[in-house]
Amino acid sequence: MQRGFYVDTERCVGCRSCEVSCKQWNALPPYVLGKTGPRWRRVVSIESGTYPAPLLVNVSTACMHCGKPACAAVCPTGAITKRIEDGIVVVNKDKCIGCRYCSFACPFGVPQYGEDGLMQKCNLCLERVERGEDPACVASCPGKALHAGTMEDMSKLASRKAGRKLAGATQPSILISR
Amino acid sequence: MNARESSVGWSLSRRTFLKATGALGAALALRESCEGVLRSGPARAAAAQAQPEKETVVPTICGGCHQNCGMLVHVRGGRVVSVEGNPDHPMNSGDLCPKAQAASQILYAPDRLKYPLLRAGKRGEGKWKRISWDEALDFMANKLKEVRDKYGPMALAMSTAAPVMQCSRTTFVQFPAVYGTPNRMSGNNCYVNRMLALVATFGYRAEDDYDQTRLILLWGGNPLASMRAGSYAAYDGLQRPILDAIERGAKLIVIDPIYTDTAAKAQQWIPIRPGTDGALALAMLHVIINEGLYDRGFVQDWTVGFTELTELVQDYPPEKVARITSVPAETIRSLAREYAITKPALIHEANAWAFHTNGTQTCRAIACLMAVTGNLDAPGGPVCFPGSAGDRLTVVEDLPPTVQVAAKPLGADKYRLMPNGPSVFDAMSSGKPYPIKALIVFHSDPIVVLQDGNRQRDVFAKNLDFLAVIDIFHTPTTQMADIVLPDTTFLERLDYRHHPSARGAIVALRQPVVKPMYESLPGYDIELKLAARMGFLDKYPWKSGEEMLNHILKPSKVTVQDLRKKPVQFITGPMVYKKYEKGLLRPDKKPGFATPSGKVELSSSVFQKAGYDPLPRYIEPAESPVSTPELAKRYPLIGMSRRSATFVHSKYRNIPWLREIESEPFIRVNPEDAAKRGIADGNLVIAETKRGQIRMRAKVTSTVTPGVVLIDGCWWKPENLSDLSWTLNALIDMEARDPIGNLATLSSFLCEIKKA
Repeated sequence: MQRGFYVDTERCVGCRSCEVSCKQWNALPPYVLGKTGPRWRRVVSIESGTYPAPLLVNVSTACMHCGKPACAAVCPTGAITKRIEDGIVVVNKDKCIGCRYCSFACPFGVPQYGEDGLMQKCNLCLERVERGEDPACVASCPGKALHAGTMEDMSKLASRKAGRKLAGATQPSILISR
Repeated sequence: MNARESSVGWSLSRRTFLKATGALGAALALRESCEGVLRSGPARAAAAQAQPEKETVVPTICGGCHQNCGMLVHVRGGRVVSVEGNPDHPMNSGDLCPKAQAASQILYAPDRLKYPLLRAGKRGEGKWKRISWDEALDFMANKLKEVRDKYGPMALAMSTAAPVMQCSRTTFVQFPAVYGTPNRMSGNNCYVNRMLALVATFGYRAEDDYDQTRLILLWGGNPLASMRAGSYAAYDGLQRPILDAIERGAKLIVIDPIYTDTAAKAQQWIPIRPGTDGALALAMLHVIINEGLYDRGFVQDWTVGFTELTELVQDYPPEKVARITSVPAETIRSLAREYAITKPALIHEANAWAFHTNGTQTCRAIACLMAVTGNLDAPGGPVCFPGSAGDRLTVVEDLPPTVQVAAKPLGADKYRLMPNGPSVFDAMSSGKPYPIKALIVFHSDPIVVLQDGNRQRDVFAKNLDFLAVIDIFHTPTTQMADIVLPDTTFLERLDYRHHPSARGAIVALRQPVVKPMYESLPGYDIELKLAARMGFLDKYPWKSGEEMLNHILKPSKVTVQDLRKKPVQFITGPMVYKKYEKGLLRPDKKPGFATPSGKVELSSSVFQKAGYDPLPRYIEPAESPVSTPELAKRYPLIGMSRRSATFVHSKYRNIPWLREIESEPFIRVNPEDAAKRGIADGNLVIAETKRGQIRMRAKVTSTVTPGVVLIDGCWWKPENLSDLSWTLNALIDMEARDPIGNLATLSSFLCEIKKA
């Protein structure tokens, strides 16, 4: 089984509630004096077009829990693993040495480094998921734009809006619809 | 313009994605040198190890904005560890915005006001001496007695915040009445003049019946950013009602000079010159009336003044109005026809009408549009939900003081329907008709929120004998105070909120989740302690915060104790439509609307009686390229103020998680205007009006109409409280006002920008 996300950009209003939800639920340190803290989730606003026909699309992203995670492949200590039961990519901080190979390998700029210099990233709110709950970002989304679950369920949801799986060599577990 | 059908710009290839997240890489590099004032946060599992006590979950309501969403607060060992949306609360059904998510950082902010502080240096110097509550309250009581003895009780004014939380409608309401002053400096911004216009026209404040509508005409607001789909209504989800309506097939049309977050979801965006919306409404009425597209039956049976309105709108043919508004005549015609023919249809009118000097009549014109199409209180239209303002109220929302002040408030002679507000500042600065010598500011930051903070600072310093500020953080306003008192946050206080909804009126409990931090006290306790020292207590029908809340809740027939058992309760049955046919809108129970004539007053007797134009004639904004062409030569751009989901009003600019997603204010400018001035994205720019200057970075964006600049509003620098260079209101003043609404412009002023 593979868990992942589905982002319905038609319903994403770019409020970034998911970003703060992630930070507070996972107790991540914040921006201090103009410098950002680790951000496991990030909303990217893509603006295009010209007046009077501009376009604004917001996409909320985090770790893609890839089918073939490049981060895990390059990790020299085996700190990054992919769980067999649900495909969630997790980091064992006890094994991480902070070499940052993963940050170069990840095509999405996902790995983040805290003050301890060790890698950290979205773990799909493991404890919540194991309790049968949605991750914090999904649970609080005011637009109900962000979904998480098995890729099978996500595909079903996304198919109503012609959602597509994000293509990539690492097989990211994310569907996006417009 | 159809965003959703357009094929431009949609392909989130990995390359696009990487480009867009390029900034992320840069941010990460920065992070390396981050000194981390707050220690690296442990994951929740680690937190659980450190604090092995059992985690409890306390249901309460947020206080971040007016919505007061249901919130489940996780507490461990007496400390808040995280918050979640309450899935069972009809306002948000589990949703939470960024402000709410940052609740624990608000509660535990290191810069919370912790103790009463007495000014130890000059005003504005920021030097303080910690004193006890007894010392603070004695000092305050003595000062207030001095002012009353020397100048009389009316020399005291209050400044309380927008009713983001109920406490700003109920705290320090009884006190000034007993003291003997009717004067309030705050309150005329925002919705009150809209309420006046709607209630004068049809007797209630319209809420939007999204779930049954086929057309949403969203005008002068950005509800997907404010997260307020209605004015106060609960819709079982914050963004759901509008987004679901679109998915169901309803059409969303947005009229706004800015391609807002909400416009980005619309099938049609109609950009308009700021402040000319009233003319557009009249042109739509012109088309609807002249083409016979109005609801004849409704107009005949339930309205007065149709003949006068018909005459008025002959002055506003679409061709003429196209020149005023810059909306093409054909667009006006098709918009008017589509709105009149589509049934049901609703107009979500919004706060823009509280930001322009012609806003009250603009709102009146829109109210007439709602009425002549027969949509009022009909399924899918602008309705009066149970609990809406104008419904025969189920909860006393504004605590009426039990003591009456005989004297009229300042401004009552000139602004008959809307005294107070800027009129109090007039008296404070001129001493006429009598001086204002003391000001109590509760839960408000007038220097940042009201117009012209620099001038307010001068006037406070020169003319006030006494300024007390009650807040949770230092603000630019506390810097001018003689005494600063620490309030509680919404997580430390007992309070309530009431909401209208289609399912019935709702009352919800806010309960203290943790004990008040440091020496902070809830506002009502501060009021009672002060009242005791002034000898006022015998004029208070309550002796505690809980007793006050029960006093207010009396009409709802629930008590605080009932709410403790069940924190969210419906106190009425569900929505009944077309109440005007059934005698459910008027206090005398006769069919009709709650207006003097019992009909919808297209020509308003309330306005006429007060000496105003009973018809919603269009008047140019006080400052515009048309009304002040000479000024427009020097200041050719029209400035507007922006709000986002991250903050409400001036709140929380010091909260790190929020600053992380919105780190500083920006001036948004169209590429065309930016290029003319040699401004590139990210450049530091100076915005200037005839009144002052501010400095912010530019965001060059096609979402802004050429000729307009959109400036982040209500900012201040937590890092430097005396620096107002991020504060938009340095660009505006209280001089030119809406002659009916007594409010100065916040969102259409002439300005120019240049590279700093």
